[in-house]
Amino acid sequence: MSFLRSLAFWLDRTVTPPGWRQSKRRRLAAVAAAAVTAITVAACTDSASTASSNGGSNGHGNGSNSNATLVMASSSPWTSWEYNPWTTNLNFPGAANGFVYLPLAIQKWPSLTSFTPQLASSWSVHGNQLQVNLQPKANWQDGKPVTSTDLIDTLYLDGLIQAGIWDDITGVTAKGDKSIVLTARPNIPMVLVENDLFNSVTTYPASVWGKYVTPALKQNVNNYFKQAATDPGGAAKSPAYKAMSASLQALTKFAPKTLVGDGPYKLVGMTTQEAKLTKWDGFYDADHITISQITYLGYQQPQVNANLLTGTADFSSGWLYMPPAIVSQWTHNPNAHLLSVPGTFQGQIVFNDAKAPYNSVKVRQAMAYAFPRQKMDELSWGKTKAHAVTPTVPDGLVDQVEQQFLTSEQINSLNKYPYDTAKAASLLESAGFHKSGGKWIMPNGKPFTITLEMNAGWTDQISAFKVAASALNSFGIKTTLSTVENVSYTADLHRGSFQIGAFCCTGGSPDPLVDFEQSPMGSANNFTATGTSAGQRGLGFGPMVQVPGLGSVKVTEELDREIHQVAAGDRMKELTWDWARLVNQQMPYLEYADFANQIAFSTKNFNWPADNSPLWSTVSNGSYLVVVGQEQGQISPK
Amino acid sequence: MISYVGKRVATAVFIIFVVVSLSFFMVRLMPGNVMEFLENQLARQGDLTTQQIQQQVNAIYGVLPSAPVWRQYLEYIGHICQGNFGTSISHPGQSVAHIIANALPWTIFSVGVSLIVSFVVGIAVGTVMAAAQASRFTKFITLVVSFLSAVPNYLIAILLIYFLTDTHRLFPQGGAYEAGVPIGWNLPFLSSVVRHSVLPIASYAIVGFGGWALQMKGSAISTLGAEYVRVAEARGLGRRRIMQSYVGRNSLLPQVTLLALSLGFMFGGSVFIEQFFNYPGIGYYLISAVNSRDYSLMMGCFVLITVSVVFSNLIVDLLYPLIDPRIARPSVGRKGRPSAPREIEEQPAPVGGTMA
Repeated sequence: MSFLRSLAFWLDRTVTPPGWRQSKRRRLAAVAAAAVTAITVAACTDSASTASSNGGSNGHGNGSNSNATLVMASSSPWTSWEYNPWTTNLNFPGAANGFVYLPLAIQKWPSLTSFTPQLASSWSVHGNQLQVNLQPKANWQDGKPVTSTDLIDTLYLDGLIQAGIWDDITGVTAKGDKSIVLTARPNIPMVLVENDLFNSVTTYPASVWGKYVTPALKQNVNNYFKQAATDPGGAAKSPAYKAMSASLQALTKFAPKTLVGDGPYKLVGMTTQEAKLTKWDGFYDADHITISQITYLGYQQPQVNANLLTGTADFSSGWLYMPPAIVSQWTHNPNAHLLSVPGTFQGQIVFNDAKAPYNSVKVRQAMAYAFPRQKMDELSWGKTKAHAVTPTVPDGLVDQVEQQFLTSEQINSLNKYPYDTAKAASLLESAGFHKSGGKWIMPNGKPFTITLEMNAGWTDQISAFKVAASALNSFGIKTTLSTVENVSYTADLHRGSFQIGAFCCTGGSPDPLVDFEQSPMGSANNFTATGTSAGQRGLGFGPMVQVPGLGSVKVTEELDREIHQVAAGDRMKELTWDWARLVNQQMPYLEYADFANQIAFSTKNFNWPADNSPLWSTVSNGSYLVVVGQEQGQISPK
Repeated sequence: MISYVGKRVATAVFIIFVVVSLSFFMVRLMPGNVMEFLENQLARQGDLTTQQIQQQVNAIYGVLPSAPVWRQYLEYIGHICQGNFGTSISHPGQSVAHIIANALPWTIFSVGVSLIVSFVVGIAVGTVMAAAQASRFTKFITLVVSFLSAVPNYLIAILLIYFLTDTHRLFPQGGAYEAGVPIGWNLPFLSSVVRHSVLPIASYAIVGFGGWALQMKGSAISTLGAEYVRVAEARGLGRRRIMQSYVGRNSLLPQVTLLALSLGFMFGGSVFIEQFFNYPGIGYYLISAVNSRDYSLMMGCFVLITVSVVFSNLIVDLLYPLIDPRIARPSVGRKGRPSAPREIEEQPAPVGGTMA
């Protein structure tokens, strides 16, 4: 304080006119002192209140659980947020999903046909109709009951953004206040209708959004999707589509001040850093909700890790990545747990399949032998509770899905492509390559050089590719690693402007056909016909390919067709085997790392299920885990 | 004088026009677009098929501007002249002006306060260093401020985050205020704002004050050798009075000029710190816009930064003639002092106390 007084005195003497001095000197000192005092008091006050709330909430000190606050750190930071779910999915608060808004039902992994009821208390299939019954006691946070109108209005508004459920149904009607009936299109398995409805549709209140659902809008959505079933091109140019676009434009301009949910928590407030949620006593199952508050933090991954290690956060899920050194620190904490939950994704090495020399299957297979995948993974992600592991067989499926849909005989019959430079050399020689002076020379006489292209933001994968570059150089292929900024990188892949790159991440679905469809050989990344990359070559695999068991097919169109028509069952297993053989034999891309969907939690302040609890192996979403875990009595404050 | 002002204003307008034009074309040379960005983000969520992703993105954004670039450019310039910066692509339904208007107060507050703090502390330290040049204190402080002025502010931010938010939880890790606090002119909110701003401000100020201190020291030392200071000493005035009234005030003038120029750079200088602290100012949204290829928002931020820099320079240019009329009418100065005009202009003009 004396320093500030001196500073104020000096300023007074140097920059203020003499007449001001006597009257202003003390004022200036007082202002400076007041400013510092205010900051100090603010810091101390808030620190104290935070410590107090943490103390009460997290069980520090008084052992009470009446104000339990769960701090959940997410590695999906947000820049801005809007309370309009149809504006763009990226700006709608992630914290709302599961906590503020109930899903209709939660998929029980790895099953494609089994769901845990939530807002939908039950459902039944009658021929080509699916009847969904809503929780009888469910209410909105504005006091109104949840009714069939809410769900029907939501479905029609989802139609404006082309929700997948409308590819499966011809219409939806109410059956009383608490039930709806969906009518499936011909030849669409009812399981697909259930999957698309329960996995993709969240119900929003008609009291907020119903004003946009006019009879004309319903008519337009019905007409558009009716035409789109047989004539997608014509539907996109139809008056119904234009009217839908205009309706969507109007819808996206609406900005509600807050969220009116039906879940166990209410959104109290949100900033660029955190969302605060508090328990809502009007929730139909509120008696089972024992965590009274949730602070949902949005951070970059390093900060998430720091929060976990310092005890600031109790829980983290969803693309959690702990480098080996952090895993080591975390696992030394007696309260710390690190588990893998369903939803493993694949990281792939992609070859420019349309460009020499990678248009040769033998060269791609040689590369599969020359990439030291296990070494890449272990050096980058460690061996203990690693975020990524090497898939047993590079067939386009993560091990968990592979074991569900392929027999052990089938899996064992596929090529595992272990690191084997002799086999790689043999394949290259059979493709016309030769070695000169320790370096591989291509059939055209030019040195075989590789530029590995990598997204600059994927720091963990960069280290894996450095290992690969080193191994390839040792093998006699001059290899350099080029890192490119995110959007440019994606543009390069779509344009086919690369030699060998990384692709991240696909999979994550228990449906193997969806995993293949989302892979680099799917329509989003390979001879893309629609969307922003329409007309671009991308991976350049095909477009017509001889697929084992299927014959000559247009890969992208065939995969798009299958995901809309094939449900769980024997046919899905047959097709899975066909596509797995294609990937394994023709190597359009090389699956090199399976990224675990990890969660971390601390038992210091909360009770969690045992590590071997079925809860961890059947639910993939962190928010759902917290809600379902409380409903089942497995998660509670200490 | 009118001619001088007219030239300066015309130059400022021309510079803004050139920078805005260059920015318009340069951002469009960047590969990728906002729709590709959103497609990637949706794909990462993992529960949508390719078709659904593409259909949703198309439905949400419609189509990208397809008019020739030159026409887009002319329309953009026309809209800017009317104060219309367009609608943000990544925030459908929100105007760029609205986003910037929400972000601007946070940047002005954090960078402005830090600028004032670093200026006041730097000037004080610099003056002390000049007054006691040979002391151990000055040697030590010179080392410290030289080091600090060379350290990037984001490095200081990382250290502050590590020590004061992770290791010791004295301050919040980021954001502009605590979620759930009622927003308005109430004590909990203001207290939360102050508390959340301490570390961002400290990150700027710790690095910034070193530069001010060194500049002030240099300026003060050169003033100490001025003839009017020696005259004052010869007249037997006290050391303290000479330092305060003769040296301090005269060596402060160039620093005030620099401070005015620094104000212009405050918006562009906030990028790193705002990112580290998730502080929702201009820099925060600029990075977000670049990453998502939101051309409209990017351009809005660039225009703001450009205008603020040019405008602050213009203000300084217009203030100079008031301080020294010879700047606006150089011929007057040359007529009066034909023998050594440069030397006179380069000397800090004595202000106040010289006739004591």
